[in-house]
Amino acid sequence: MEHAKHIIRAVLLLVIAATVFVLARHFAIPASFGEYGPYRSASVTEHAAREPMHGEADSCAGCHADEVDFKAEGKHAKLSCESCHAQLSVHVHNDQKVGDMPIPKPIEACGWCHEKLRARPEGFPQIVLADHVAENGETMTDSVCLECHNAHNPSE
Amino acid sequence: MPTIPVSNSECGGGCGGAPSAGTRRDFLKQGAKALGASVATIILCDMTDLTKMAEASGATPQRANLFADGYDWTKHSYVYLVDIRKCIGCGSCVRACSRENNVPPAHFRTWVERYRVSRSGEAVIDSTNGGMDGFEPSQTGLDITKAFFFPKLCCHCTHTPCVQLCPVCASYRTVDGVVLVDETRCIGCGYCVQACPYGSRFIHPETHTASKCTLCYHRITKGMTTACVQACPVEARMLGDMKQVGDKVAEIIATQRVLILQPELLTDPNCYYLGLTKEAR
Repeated sequence: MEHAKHIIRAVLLLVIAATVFVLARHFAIPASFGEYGPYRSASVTEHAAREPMHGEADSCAGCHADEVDFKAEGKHAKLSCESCHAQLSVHVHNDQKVGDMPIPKPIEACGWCHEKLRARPEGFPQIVLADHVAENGETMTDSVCLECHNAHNPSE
Repeated sequence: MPTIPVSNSECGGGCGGAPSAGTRRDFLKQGAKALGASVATIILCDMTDLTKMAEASGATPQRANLFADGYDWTKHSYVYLVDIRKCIGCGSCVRACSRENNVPPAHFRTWVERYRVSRSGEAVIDSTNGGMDGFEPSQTGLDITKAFFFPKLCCHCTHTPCVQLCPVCASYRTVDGVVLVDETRCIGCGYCVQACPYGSRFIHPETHTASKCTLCYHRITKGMTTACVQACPVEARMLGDMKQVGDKVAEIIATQRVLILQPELLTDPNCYYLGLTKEAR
């Protein structure tokens, strides 16, 4: 056992190296990392926990059943209320009204879909806004569309 | 010459007389014991984690209680369908996405491009503000024979270039097929932004981390649809789930001629297109 101390030293060094590795690993790897793959699985639930800004398709009907029914009868039935107005979160939070729902400029909002563009599918109702307004003897204003159309049910 | 008092501590426990004898030795012993115990605990904890990880790499799904609200991500596999022939280029999807996800100005998680193609194959492609403000009629100077709108978003690829090269494991693909970014780990190096062949990632100007479409993960895990799908007035965008029996999108994928973007890259996207044409890329 003349050289025992050399072996002890080597083993001791190995133990120290292993300990340092395990410690470094412990502190370098965040919690929940690697549970499902090479990522922090807590991140998944963090993403999932975010509060939705837009409501569900029937969110508006809770208070505005008349408008929703009126819209559902017409050609804007498939158009989400929030598409023209804004996300529900600016208006209602926890069933409490927190602010007014914005109303867009009709000439702008109608134009998003109905200004005539070559790239729109044929058969989708489109007009050259300026011509359409002139043809009907109106003058161009922000809300000129509402002179003849109801935005919620445009054929009315 | 004045004598300088020598404190006991300077010569350690060995020469300081009875009260302090062995103090340092005891201290070191206690310290070593405490250190050993804590290291052993850490090692034991890590060993348990490693065992869990080894189990997790097997075929059986792991802990089902990752989501507190009972959502089970092993029962979903999301797919997205865009029907180019239906898109009217209104930009409702872009506005909805921007509001839902608080997307910074001039950056887009989804956007709409307008393609106008002449007979000779020349294409004019524009996407002013991502299509958020709709599109204006404009002159191209070409004899346009074909024009269409082309909505784009993250394809949530099965074999994701962006996830593969993330140096800090900040990008990952969930069990239900959504590619997400862990913003607490992302160092903002931008490799993934360069790697994405579909241009669907950007570096957030405020957080300086990678940002992208999450397929509204906070909505779909609550049983809602994505903001863009909900906003689309012509059903040009649809969210599907390959693991739901009778799913409308799964049926379309199974029965119709759907295409994917840049199939030659073998990224295996989960965003399918109807009415794709050769100019669209």
